Amino acid sequence: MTRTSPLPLAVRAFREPQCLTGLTPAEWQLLLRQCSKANLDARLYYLLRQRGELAAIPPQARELLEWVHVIAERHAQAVHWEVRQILAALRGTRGPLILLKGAAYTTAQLPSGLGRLYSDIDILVDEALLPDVETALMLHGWHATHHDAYDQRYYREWMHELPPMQHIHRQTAIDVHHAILPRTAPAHPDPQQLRAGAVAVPGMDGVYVLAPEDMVLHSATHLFFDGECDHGLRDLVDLDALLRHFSGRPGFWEGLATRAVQLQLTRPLFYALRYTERLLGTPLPPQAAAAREVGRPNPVLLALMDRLYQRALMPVHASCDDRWSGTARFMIYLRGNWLRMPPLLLARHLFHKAFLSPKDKAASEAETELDRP
Amino acid sequence: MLTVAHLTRAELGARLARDGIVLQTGGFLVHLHSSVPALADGIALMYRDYPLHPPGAFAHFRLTLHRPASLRRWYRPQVHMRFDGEALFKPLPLAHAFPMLEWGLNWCVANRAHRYLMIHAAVLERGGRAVILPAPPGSGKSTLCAALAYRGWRLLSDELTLIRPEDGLIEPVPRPVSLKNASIDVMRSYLADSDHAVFTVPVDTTLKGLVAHLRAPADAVARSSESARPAWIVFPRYQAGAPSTLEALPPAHTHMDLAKNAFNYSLLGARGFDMLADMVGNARGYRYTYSKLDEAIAVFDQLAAQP
Amino acid sequence: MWRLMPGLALRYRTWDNETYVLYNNLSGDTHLTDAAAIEVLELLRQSPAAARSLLSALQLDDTPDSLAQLDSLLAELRGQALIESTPAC
Repeated sequence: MTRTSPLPLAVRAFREPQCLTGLTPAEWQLLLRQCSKANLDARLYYLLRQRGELAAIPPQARELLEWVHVIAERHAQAVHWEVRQILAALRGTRGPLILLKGAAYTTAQLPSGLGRLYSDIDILVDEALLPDVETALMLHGWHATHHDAYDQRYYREWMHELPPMQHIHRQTAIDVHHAILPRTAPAHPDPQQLRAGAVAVPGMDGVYVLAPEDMVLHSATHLFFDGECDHGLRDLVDLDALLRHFSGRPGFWEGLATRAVQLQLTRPLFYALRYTERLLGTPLPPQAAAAREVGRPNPVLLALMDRLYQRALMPVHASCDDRWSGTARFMIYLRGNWLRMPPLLLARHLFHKAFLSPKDKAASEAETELDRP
Repeated sequence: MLTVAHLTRAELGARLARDGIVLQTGGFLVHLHSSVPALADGIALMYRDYPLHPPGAFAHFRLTLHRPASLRRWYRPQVHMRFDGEALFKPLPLAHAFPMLEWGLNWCVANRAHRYLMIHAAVLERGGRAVILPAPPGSGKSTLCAALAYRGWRLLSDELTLIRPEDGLIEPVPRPVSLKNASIDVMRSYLADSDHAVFTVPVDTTLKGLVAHLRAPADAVARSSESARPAWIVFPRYQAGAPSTLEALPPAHTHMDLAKNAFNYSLLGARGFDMLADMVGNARGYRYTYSKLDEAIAVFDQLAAQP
Repeated sequence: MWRLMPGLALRYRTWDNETYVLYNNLSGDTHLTDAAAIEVLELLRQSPAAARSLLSALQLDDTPDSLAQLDSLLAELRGQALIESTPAC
């Protein structure tokens, strides 16, 4: 992938972190704004901490990173608690609790979980058990959102999940998936195989995550099939972290190649390995080539995709967000015995109520649901 | 140090519209970019004594306030505010530009500066000790704060009480005191004898009535790097006709009530708990009901006289 | 049998030995509570216990009234996710 312009700072930060201590304050300002947009600022904090370089950057930059570090710590605490609550709620249903994506990384304490901020817990269940799971969650305080009939259909029939549910007290959100790709997607990775390969999280009885190869494939799938939303760089950074972490495991690359074929995910795996290596310099051993090549597209398509992803993976202003707006995004960690004020609710109550109205409809919906003492 | 006062109004407006300005309030640098004249007017008046940094200086927050290039430009004109490039709130009528800025600045700090434990409270200092006045809107906190700020107390903030984790001291961020409706006239007459009490022209916000701002005393702005130790926590309540009543509050209840008024207590977790408990243990908590400002000032004078 | 929630670190403050504020490091909640609750939590911190043995450790008479009050307190603590019941050992 050729570039005529230099890589954005946010990409350079993760590709060649040794450059960080040499950045000027002006560059730091720009880097922090890019990382904030890309939801990578907390990640950057941990990267610097790991390298022991927090003291070596401009104090104003360190200050801003400290602010987001506070959020990241509380977020992790909240995820652990939330997973415990979900486990307790689903104890009566058959089937293991399998965590996906961010919640999986955080709970399994993977490097990809450090500084990763997200608003929903994603779980994978057997489609046949969906009604039981939904009932169990409702009994334990989660309630349905997206009451609109169209939305309900969208999620249940066309996507691969229940409409997101929100807990009535904690205002946390759970997404219950029965597959990792919608029925309309070009590939159909068999959820039964994914569930069968799930591994237990040490020290957390009853909690599972996908097998390492499947975790990588799921992350690749999420990035390359979910084209609408702008979380490309963040997902690539996830992939890079996962690959580096699992690369040393005996048989990992061979397993990855085999699994990609089994799950019909060879194309996303090709792109994942191609772009992590090119953009972030992910070290790929010789065995990785076999895993990658199976999914290689024809040269014309490849050239087109290279150009597309060159744009898509750069940190840009988010034109679309998760379900919850930017400021409500981190709701997961905040409820505590009536003492929490989500940022937008805060604006309402504490700064001349109703003077500043939230722009985002989803956020203001969330807000009216939260309107309690 | 270059302050806003060093620029002519024309120069201020030009800089704000061109590259923006970097204004310092307390320990925060905010990059402001705006082409709205009413905003430049408000900044010239209310931020006269505040330091200005070069436009490229490292800013904690970036706010832009602009008029949209649309039909709304001329018919019921509006102002849009963006935080770090994101439009998070609906636009307001153009006349509300300065109040919008003030809310925006409060919002930035309260939602981001999580190094501090942040309480939604006014805070003022006297003799090195700080009194914290937490209160939901409508309790008369702002009126009381405005009065105290001009009657022997140094304003640290009218909305944002920032507690430092390393030493438990209050970090000042003095800014214009916001006043609503009746309290605007109350304060105008209360401070009629003071040349330094400067008010913005009240803005009719329809929803919330009249809103005006009172400039922070120059001394408070000049001393905004001087922290203070929290010594009193007073929950004020204005009640027409009520006798001045100061009632001691048990520490545990003070802790819980303060937590309910904090922006990020829950976010700070165990550290927030410890910081709050430490502060409560070293301060005296009260509930205070009043109807006459003069009586209130006297009560606070007595607090200041405590050993 | 009752025990502290696994992973709970008891973190509390008091200024008069009667009323306490308690931080739950698992849920992130803060509770206003009293000396009786704290005593029960401290006892359970040492080891899980059944209601009856808590009664005697608290030096309360084994009456239906006392037991009912203790049960009520235990239910409250459970509601606050500070303790949980385990199958009787």
